Amino acid sequence: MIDIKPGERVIFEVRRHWYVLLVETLSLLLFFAVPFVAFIVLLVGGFPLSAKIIFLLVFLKAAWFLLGWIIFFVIWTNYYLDVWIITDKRIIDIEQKHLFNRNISEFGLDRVQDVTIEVSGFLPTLLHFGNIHVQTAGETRLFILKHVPRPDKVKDIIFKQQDEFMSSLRSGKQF
Amino acid sequence: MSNIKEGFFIPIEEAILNPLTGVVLWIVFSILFLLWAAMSVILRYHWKSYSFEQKKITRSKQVYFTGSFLFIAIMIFSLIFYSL
Repeated sequence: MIDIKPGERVIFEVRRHWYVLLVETLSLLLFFAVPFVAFIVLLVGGFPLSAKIIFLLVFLKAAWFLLGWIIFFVIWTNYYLDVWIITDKRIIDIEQKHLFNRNISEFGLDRVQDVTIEVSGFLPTLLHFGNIHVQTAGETRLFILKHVPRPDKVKDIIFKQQDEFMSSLRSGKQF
Repeated sequence: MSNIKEGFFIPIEEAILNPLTGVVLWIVFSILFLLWAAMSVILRYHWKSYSFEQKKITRSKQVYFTGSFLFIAIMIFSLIFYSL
């Protein structure tokens, strides 16, 4: 559960690029294709398709698709819940590894020391996604968000929010 | 060659026509339905507890349950027609 404090505003949500979801789903598409291939093989092979056989095949296909459907939504849920939430006071890093493995960490914008973006490879350059590294003060921890769409834009948002937050701290608005 | 083909197809035909196959398929359906129900509870829990904006997740819920009910309905009808 994410608690947004009273008076705190959510500025931006960052998820991994859709390319990541696509890659994870491609193997599932092959999984979906198997019953179609089997059906074509039966047709080409001259297998006598009586009404009973057709109903049996329809049942098996539907069962197969239901399994694939469930798996797709598990993949999608892991993708959707893995997110960085940038508010006007802090950054919340929610790392959803799988359905029963979830890490949440957060750090105030005043602790952001350095933000580095890394776009490496042909596809990341073409599709505009990359990694963001945020170094925080006070501890040695480095926060990394991988495969972020438009990392330069996210970096700008973080710095802009940090500037506003620091200005408000100096003018005594925050506390 | 034709003997091999007959030898391959006849047992499958017999298995399909065997009334016990229908029972087995209903058992398979029941297991799959229970699996789907368990996964739906788990997914719904995650969407409800961890989703940041409920409005955004509502559409996904609709798609998931519509698709699921469609596949389950197809399975039930095909099994009913198969068992006739």
